[in-house]
Amino acid sequence: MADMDRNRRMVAIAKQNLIESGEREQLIQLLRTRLLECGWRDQVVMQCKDVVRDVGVENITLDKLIAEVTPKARQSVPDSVKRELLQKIKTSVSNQSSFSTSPFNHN
Amino acid sequence: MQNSILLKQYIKNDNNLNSVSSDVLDEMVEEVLIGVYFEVHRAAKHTKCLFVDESPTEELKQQIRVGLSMAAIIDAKGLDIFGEVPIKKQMECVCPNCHRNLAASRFAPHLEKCMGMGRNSSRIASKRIATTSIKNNDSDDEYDNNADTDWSVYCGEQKKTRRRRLKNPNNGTTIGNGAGVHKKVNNSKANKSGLNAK
Repeated sequence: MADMDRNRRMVAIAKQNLIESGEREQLIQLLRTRLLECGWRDQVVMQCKDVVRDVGVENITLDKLIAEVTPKARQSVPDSVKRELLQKIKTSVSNQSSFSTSPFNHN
Repeated sequence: MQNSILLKQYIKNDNNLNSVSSDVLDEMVEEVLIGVYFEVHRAAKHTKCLFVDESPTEELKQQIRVGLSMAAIIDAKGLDIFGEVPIKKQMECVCPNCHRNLAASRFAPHLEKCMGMGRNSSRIASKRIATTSIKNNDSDDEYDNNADTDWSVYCGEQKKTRRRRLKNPNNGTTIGNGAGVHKKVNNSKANKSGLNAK
């Protein structure tokens, strides 16, 4: 559907701009800090530990960790952290203007 | 430029702005997660810090945190990924024959002499036998004296400088062959190694 396509393209443009302006790096650092402070990272590590124990150290792979831990981990991001980051992202995206001549062209 | 104009139009709608921002956030959370997985996976494979069955007390969590940080890949100026300063360290080894401590770079040549193998050793052995009872110049004198001594003398700390001067530029055959490419200069200061009489 045209709407979804358009949405996807817009998201891609926004992401590209965030990367080029350096804001993405800052935002992700902030995100990491918040997630560490609130104990979320420790929680995720514990969940990983459980998966490692269940599957066995020899058999543990990154893929397995991704598959087993990601769904719950995503949900358990605290609302306050989400809100703060979303606000900052919205601000950055709203202020975007790209003066680069990147061949990043969606047709 | 064109793209940003399109985007600006698009996000005038608040729903659109929220949707785009949520996508961005999701991707960022996923990236943070993958980072955690990498650390956990590396720690699991290289350390034992994840071998805990009990439920996570604060102390346990701290131990695991420490464990993960110890396995972490170091990314700092002037250090390699293990956190060490990248200089060439001299590795030491123990000769299985005479049980001396040797620098690794000297180990192979030492073994040649020590075990009586390699290009020079049999030539040296024959020479020693040949010159055992002859008194010539200085170097042969000392060489002479040494020929009478025990195996264990070589394994002492003497004659280190003499030994060092001996390089092996040989590219000819060795056993009993004094012809052709026999390089006199180096071999006159013959290695005082106590060769295995084989």
